[in-house]
Amino acid sequence: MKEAGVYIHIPFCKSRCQYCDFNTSARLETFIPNYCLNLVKEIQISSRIFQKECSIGSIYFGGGTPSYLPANCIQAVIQAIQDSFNVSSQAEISMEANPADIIPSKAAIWHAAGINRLSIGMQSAQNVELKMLGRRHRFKEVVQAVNILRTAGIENYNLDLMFGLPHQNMQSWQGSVTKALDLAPTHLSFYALTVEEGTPLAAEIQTNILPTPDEDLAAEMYEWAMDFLAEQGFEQYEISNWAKKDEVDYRCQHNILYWRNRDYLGFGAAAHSHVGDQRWENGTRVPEYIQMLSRFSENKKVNFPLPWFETCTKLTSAEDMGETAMMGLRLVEEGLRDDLFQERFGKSLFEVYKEQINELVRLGLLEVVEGEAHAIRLTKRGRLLGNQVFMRFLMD
Amino acid sequence: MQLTQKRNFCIIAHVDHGKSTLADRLLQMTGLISERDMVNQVLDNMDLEREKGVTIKASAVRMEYQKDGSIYELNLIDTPGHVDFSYEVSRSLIACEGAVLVVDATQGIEAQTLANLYLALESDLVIIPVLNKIDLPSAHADEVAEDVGNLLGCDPDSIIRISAKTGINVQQVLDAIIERIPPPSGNEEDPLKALIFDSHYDSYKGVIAYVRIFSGKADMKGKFLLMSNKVNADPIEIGVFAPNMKPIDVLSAGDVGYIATGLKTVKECRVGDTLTDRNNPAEYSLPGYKHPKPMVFAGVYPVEGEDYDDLKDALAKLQLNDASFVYTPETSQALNFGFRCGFLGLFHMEIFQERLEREYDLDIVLTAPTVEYRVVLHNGEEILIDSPALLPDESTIEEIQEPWMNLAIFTPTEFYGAVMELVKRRLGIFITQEYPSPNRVQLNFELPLSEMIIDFFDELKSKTRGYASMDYSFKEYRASNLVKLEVLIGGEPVDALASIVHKDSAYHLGQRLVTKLKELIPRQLFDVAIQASADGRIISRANVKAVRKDVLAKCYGGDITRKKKLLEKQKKGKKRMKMVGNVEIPQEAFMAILKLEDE
Repeated sequence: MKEAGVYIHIPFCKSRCQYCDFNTSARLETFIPNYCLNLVKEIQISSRIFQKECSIGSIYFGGGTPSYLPANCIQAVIQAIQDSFNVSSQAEISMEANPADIIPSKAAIWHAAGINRLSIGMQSAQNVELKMLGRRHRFKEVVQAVNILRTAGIENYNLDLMFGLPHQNMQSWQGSVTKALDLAPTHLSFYALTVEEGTPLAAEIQTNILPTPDEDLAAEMYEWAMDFLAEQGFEQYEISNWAKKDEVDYRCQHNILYWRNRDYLGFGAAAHSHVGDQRWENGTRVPEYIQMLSRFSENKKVNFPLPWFETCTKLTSAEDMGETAMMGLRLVEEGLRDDLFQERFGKSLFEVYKEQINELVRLGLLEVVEGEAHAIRLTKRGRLLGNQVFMRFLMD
Repeated sequence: MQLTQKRNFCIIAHVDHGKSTLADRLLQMTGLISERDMVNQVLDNMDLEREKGVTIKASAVRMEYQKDGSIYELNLIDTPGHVDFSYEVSRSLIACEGAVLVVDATQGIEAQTLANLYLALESDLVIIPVLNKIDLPSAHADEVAEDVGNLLGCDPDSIIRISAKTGINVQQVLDAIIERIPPPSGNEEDPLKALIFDSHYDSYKGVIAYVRIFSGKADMKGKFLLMSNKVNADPIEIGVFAPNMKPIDVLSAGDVGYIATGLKTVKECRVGDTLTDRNNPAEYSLPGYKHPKPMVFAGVYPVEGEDYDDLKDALAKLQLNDASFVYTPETSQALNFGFRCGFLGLFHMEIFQERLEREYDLDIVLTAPTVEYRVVLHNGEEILIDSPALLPDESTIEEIQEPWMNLAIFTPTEFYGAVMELVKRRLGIFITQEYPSPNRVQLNFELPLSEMIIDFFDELKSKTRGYASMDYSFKEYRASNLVKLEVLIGGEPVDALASIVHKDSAYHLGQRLVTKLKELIPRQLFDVAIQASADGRIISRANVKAVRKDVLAKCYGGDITRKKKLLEKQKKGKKRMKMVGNVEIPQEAFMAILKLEDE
């Protein structure tokens, strides 16, 4: 039986952040109860198609802001997954959370429901930066949140931080990172700000209300973080992700599925799934998602592709290879492993990508890991220039 | 039909004054096309012409019109509407006895109104002035009539006021053509003399020559000869345009029609040449034959090397119909294999570029246009170069000469200062001024063509809020103080970025060019040095710093498809760039010299 992950999309937020272009809806609260009911139904209907094929090793609530939902809704969804699928007792169950939502009553229910990993959107320890980003929390609340989680028994948590922000300088960045480490996280995610077109932040930069972030400074911040976190006992295992070195593996198991290009089932509006050579995506709009699911009872037998998919694509082997490389190379330690590649495609990546590998090694962006785990991975310089590497593995 | 019943005429006008609309209206009123078939502007065959509102190739149509109980045969010879084609215009004009001069009543007289009028007067044509667009609220017909009256020395009240669009008073134009334009003369017993005033290539019948018979007659028994190059051109078909090709038995003195020659290229059958019968040849050819020479040159390269053969085929096809376009293979170290192309002018070049992209669906890189320089070497030898790459070593050069143009700019007087300033900055010399009408001035200059082909017309338009118009013609070659301005990228000279410039402006231009290139060349995986050099000295330099960060911050399950598309787009953009050494240069960079803003 194959192992797969489950992703649950929660497209609700209390407020929209300045930089966000995700599928999330502020001011759609009224849909929340109905959404959760139909989410449960989608899980039940889908399980009859996939349940026999896979056992579930990880569950991940993303958004949006899953922590914004009433905790019993989260509980009900986890329950539905456990009832409908074969979920491993060791399964990692993660949830993204806004620090402002982390209150003792919720934390207790989350813990009871089985959530054993939280990813906290801290973003910065500087309140000016939080305000500029349109975050609804302040640093003080992050500190409180961490204490509440520990009290509730959740000690495995990640902190998300952003760098390359307008007005941010090296000193304020180092301050945020240091303060994050003081909160004893098991995992850190550092994301360079991407100014997405159409966001309020983009508009403020265009109209010179905010300065354009300096890309070279962002590069320096990243390089500093790589060195600093290594000293602090963290292992960088992905371009933007670090796990505390310990007897326990604190890497996010669910996300590793994505980077190894393995199977996952996504439920909820706009959720993406990948099983075998199929990729599909649910319709993005909440009201339509609810309406569509309302037409089916949970016992209804429905055939694949399910009626609420918006797109469903069968990947060619070449596309699949490109995606496997593009994702796998993000794992900066493990890299793109040739044994897994051969198992999947029946040929060595050193054959398929001979020219690309030679060129990229020459450019100093890629290195070959010899030995048992024969693999290719980004060099330290390549981590900052990943797109130059990834694109060469995609088809023309 | 008797000669007295025939009239040959053309319509002349400034661009957009309504020449083609009037032509269509005449065709419709003489029953040649129905209202239903009247897809605006029948005479302009190419889509591009319709879009640009100008006529590129001349055409000729025979119409029949009844007046006072007798039938007349009217031949309308359409003329190309742009300054680059003035030789072709002049050949069309001498095929006529009269010209309808159309002036837009909302715009008044413009540069090409005058230029075309002077050409028509040189050909001794009877002029019928007409004011068009009188139906528009912005028309100021009385004022324009006054101006035209002054210009032609005629009574302003005698000028016909029409709207070609609605048909108002167009009948009067037909009547005036019959009343005022003399019938053609010529003896059909004399040896055949047929003027070729246009041609096109037909894949079945070969080159179709558009002819006006000045003497003798042409029928299918004829054994024809082109007098300039002694090429035989026996008829495959003889006919008239009505408006499509309609075979007839004979064309005699005074007639306008076509002769299908079976020739394979229009180069053998050039506009202005005389066609005669080799069994009874004319003693002299008709006067005025010239071989128009390309004035503006540019490199044309396929973006993708594999499109080279398609580009070659497309150029060959375009040349079938355009004797004034020339091309030769060229190799650039930066752009690989392409062609050096010669055009009559900038407008001609633009049309070509658009046709290659639109009709042949080719992605091309065009290098900055240049003129043809005449280089005199110390040993007395003279060479012509149409590409900066061909400029010989400086130590061997005695002097470099460049083409100068006569330039006439026609503008409302309020822009006098702006025009003078612009032309002066472009090294032009003021010659004379004329006031053909109150508030309008024509300024005559001499100007190096090299200064005119770089953004001059656009700048003129913007400095005069679109009111100025211009006309130009070749004057002579003059010695100038010229140097080769080279651009080095990563220390290597890039041939496709080199230009020949006036020594005085080299330093300044070099600096602006380097600044512009720094903007256009994206950061690469290593530092890229950009330098400009002239006279063996580096005059400007800049550095494009290596890119340090280019990576997607996040990529999780839901991002894969979207992020993959982004990367594919980035890859495609990279592929469209030209590799020079190991530096990727975007296509716009090769036209950078055209886009230097004023400071």
